[in-house]
Amino acid sequence: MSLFAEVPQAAPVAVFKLTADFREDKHPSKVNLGVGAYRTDECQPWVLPVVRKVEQLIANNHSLNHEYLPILGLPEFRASASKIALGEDSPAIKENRVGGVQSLGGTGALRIGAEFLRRWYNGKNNTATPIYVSAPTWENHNAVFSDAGFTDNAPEYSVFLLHACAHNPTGTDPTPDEWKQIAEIMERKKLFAFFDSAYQGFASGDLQKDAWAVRYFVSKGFELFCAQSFSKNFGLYNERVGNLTVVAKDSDNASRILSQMEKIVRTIWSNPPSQGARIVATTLTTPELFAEWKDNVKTMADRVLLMRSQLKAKLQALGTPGTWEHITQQIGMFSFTGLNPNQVGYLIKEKHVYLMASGRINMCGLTTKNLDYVAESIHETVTKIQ
Amino acid sequence: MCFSSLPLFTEYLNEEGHGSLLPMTRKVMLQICSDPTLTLDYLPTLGLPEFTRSATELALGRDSPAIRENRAGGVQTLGGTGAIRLGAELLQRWYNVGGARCGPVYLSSPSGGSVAATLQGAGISDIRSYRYWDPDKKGFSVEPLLEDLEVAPEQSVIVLYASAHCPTGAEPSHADWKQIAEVMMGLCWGDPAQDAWSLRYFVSLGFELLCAQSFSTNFGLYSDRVGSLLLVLKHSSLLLAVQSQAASLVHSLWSRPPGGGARLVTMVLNNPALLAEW
Repeated sequence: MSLFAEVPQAAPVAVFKLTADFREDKHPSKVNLGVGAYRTDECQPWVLPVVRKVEQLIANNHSLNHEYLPILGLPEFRASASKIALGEDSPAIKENRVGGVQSLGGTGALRIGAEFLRRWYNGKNNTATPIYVSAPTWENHNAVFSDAGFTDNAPEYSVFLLHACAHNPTGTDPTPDEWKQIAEIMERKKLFAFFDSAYQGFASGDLQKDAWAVRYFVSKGFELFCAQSFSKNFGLYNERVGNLTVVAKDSDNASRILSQMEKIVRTIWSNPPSQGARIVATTLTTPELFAEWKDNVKTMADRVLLMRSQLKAKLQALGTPGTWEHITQQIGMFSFTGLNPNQVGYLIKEKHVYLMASGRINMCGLTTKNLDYVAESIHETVTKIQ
Repeated sequence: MCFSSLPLFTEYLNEEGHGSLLPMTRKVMLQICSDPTLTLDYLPTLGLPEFTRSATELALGRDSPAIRENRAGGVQTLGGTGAIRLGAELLQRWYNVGGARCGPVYLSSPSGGSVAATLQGAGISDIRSYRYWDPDKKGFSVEPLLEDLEVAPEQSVIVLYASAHCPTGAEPSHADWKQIAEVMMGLCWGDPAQDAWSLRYFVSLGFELLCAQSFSTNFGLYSDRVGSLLLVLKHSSLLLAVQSQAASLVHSLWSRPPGGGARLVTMVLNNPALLAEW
């Protein structure tokens, strides 16, 4: 009799199941609009040219070794990553009250932040501090916080998980004025801001614009966390490069917070992987490489913007029922099309166009070659199925 | 792989006192980053399949019945620590026999750096020790360990080092291991370096077990965080269920593992010339 006889099979993660179903599908015109990664116009993954260049530099640099990084990560990476989020001349950086924790992608940064908050935020017995996430939000947000030990239930000092830009899954962000209103209430109600920044630069093509909300909150004197991912904007998905930026009231608080984070990191992954952090740090701190990177990021952002405008144009030209302005008003990798579950089911089953049940599509799955087919498929779906 | 109790990490140092990169590492890394067919896309949640297969074969031996019967598999993790953390999370949630929760976890006395803290991080609070180091003999003594195992509650989890015990370096003999296996009826959990004899012996006796594998020391890939949590279960259907739960836990810990180091290890383990060099 097995010791694990009662372990049930876990439900598969929806987006992975979608990709698995897509792979099994033999239809020649199939399109995958569920994937969460950038694709070129040939529907291929793209290793950024600057990344290839820096990888070679690193591989040929014989002074670099594979010895353990410090627990909190590569210092140059942590500093340059926090700088890119908060800005070169951020007062918080100048006042030495910012720290970074190199993490395993954005997920790792969120998990470390969550584990810290569960232990140290809002006094003792704080697992009942509610975490507010947007409805809808990225499906893993809930799992990260509940697995870190949060349950539910009290109002002041609640933690609010905010998407810094390019909201996933809707692609809809607050305007600057709306952010100001949000900040005002949060200040008054003593609510903690935990930003998730996975798309800086990738959303609008402009690093500063995509970090506006985070920097605004800092300028208003908030203490906050910002979980940064470099998976999308550096195309370094499998290197797991992330940084948890911590902004505290003063440097003493910042260093005590980091000391506790170090203890948490030690028990999850001990110390982070070096390769991705080296690539990012080298790029961010070398002017020519930094310029080349911004260019590469803009290439990706521009392709997404082009697909948005072309999809909208084609739907309008076909006279597809409904309004399609939201396709170009939304920003970032994802678009919430507004298609309902029946329509989604039809698109997948009859037209072999794969998207999430919520109606979310990844604009990167669109190419100049499949755009017509996708637009016609959406048109057919919306006219046939209500 | 082991950690000292101070915030330092132990690693292999050469005669000049520097950490040394294996000669073939640079060669293989250059090959990997010059390969235009390799992308940087996400790895699967459970890791690179060729890597976990190779790691499992390395630990159990290619002709292990557990492998042939499809009831042994690996989950790629962030080094040995990641494997211990994931294993601890799995036990904490799912090690339940007939409704009785997982018993206490026993660590050797003394025990390497962060294992206890890692178990606690996963929510395991009942951590005890079994006697290992004999100060008179200045080595390992099996009798005290056997005594401690005899009085351990059923369903206890025992953490064992397959070889190169941290921090003492003292090891049980083959005969000692046979006696240990006889006493143990529940789960055992090992941390292998090069000598996997004890691990394979337990598997041959039909034990279900977890094994945290690290490739930091034996490949000199400390900062690449290459590890695997080996699962050996009674049937292949159980393996699938437990792996699916592991994937769910990984999803909220680090989402996917990093690719570079795992690719290197896989290449070396599957290339006869590189394997010999390693």
